[in-house]
Amino acid sequence: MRAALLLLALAVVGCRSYSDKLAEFRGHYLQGDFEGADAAVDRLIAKETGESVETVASSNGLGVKAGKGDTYLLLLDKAMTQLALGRPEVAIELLRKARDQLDGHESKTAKEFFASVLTDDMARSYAGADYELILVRVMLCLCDLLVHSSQTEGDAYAYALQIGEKQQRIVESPLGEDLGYKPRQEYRRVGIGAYLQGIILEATGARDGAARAYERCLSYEPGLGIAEEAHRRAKEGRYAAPGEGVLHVFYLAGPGPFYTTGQSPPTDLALRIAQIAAALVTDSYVPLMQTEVPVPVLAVHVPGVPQLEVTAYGRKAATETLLDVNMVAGQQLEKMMPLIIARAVIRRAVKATITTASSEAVKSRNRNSTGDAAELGFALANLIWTATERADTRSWSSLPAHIQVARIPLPAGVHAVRLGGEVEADVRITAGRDAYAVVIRPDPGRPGVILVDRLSSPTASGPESLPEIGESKP
Amino acid sequence: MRTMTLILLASLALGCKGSPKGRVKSGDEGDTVGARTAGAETYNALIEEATRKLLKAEEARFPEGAVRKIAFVGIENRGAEELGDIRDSTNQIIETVIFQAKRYDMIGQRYVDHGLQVNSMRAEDLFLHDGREKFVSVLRAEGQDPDYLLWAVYTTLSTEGDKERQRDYLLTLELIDARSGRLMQKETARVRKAYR
Repeated sequence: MRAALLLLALAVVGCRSYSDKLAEFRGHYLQGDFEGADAAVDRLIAKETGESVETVASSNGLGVKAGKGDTYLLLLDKAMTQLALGRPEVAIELLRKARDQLDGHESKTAKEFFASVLTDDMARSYAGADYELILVRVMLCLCDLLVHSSQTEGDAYAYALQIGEKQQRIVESPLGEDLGYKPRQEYRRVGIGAYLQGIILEATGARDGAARAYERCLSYEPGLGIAEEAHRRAKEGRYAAPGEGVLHVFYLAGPGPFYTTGQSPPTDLALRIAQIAAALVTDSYVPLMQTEVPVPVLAVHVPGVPQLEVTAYGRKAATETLLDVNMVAGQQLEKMMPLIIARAVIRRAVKATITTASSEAVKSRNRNSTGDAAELGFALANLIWTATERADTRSWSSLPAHIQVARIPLPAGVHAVRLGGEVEADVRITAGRDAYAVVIRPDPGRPGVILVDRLSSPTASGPESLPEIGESKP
Repeated sequence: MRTMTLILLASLALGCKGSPKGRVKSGDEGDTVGARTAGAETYNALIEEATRKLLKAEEARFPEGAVRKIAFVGIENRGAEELGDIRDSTNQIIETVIFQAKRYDMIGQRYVDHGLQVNSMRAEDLFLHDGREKFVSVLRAEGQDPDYLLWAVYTTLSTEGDKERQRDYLLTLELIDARSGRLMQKETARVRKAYR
């Protein structure tokens, strides 16, 4: 008996949650120590894949098997550190690998969602939270704009379209159809894909297409000032004043969603879903219990993130929140919770059925003290089996809390652009063209990093290839 | 009954996993069809068809025996799928088709890249007179004076059905006079695919 209790204690202690495993990485990342975070995620990828840390580091995470365990989830974090370290082209490769894996693991039907292993949700292949499936495409689009500096040379437009396409498919997904509860249908749509599509079209002179994209953005994000202004601009066909170009700032601000383990009693809705799902998956009657089950709980560091003031050439623009990642994650988790609880309830019931059936089978063969000992053993086994269950707290841990945007038209030439506080970057503006800057600041109190697209970064092109430099002051 | 239940329940815990395998395809074997996105089977067909149609249409406009120089200046992706390494293979396949047509010379990609880089230009700048002039003068200085600029645009058209999704892939090629900027030829090829 004592041994069993010891075993139980060991089992509980031995189960580190995903957020515990990521603690070191997140510690570095949130402090803006991207080198440290990159090294930490390399170690995690090495452990997950069985490769050496050197192999992971030398291939920038591209030489490993993305589909092994949770590797593809870690590759998302690796992509963020690579981006922050100024390697958006590597980030694109990593994001694409991860995106393809996530798409391959997505649960499209209730049967897929509930047909999980008996241990706990952490033992399932990670299918990605729905907001992550959107965000991976958003990050691909931003990285592509940084690499190609152009709407026509890269794949940014394709990624922008993919955001809308994925969102559509998620919302129209049949998941839950046969259970009478379709959580995805209740999601609020986000406008970031349409906005990105709009700015790309606007810069290529396709003003009608841009106006339609901004209109769509506004239908998802009513009252969003920057989209309203963009819509007016596209309708009137005024991209920028003659001799001027446009700087778009994307501010990846604050720490994004991560999860801890909590407990939840089975709600009436969850039990009703569980009853139907159990019949669907096991094709037999499973007695459900009313005990509490482990569930993921969204932990958010800060409720809001201050705007960033962008100043250049005596002009000012403040960033505006285009996507509140924490809010979207919270809403989606809330809608999915009845399914998550139902799955945990079924698992509990299935485990109890297995151990009871096994115990009875042994007992019927040994009608003596051996049978009693076996019954006790199976009861303990069930206790350990259920006590070690964990909620699925896996997530893309380096996402920002907000994606904020600002647009500022500037005359052609090189400008010192101030991005809040003392942080400054030189940006070359070309008349009639877009320039892109991405600011990554997981801790809004620290400077973070600023990345400028390839052709708009004066240092990257070399002075001999620069066009005539304009005034940098009004 | 009890044993059956146990087997059924335990089967939930188990899964089968195959190990990855590769093989070399024979020359006459068709391309593998992409299950979620377009692959070689789509792009190879699009590029070959559009390029052949375009070159054939233009050939009639210049004298027998004359050879014209083409600079392939860019690929614009207006479709819903990223091209990634398809860009490089598009370039290679177009170059091969042009070479086989025998009526055209293709200017090497390094010269084209150089012509854009020297002037810090993006490919779309070539649609404006000034940009085109600067670009052509750099190539002329290298002895690679182009007669035509070739521009490719990929687009997609998606339709969601009840049981399957159809996506049409289109490649439009535009042949532009390098001096006047006039559009000389425009051809489109289309491949339709269905996904479940």
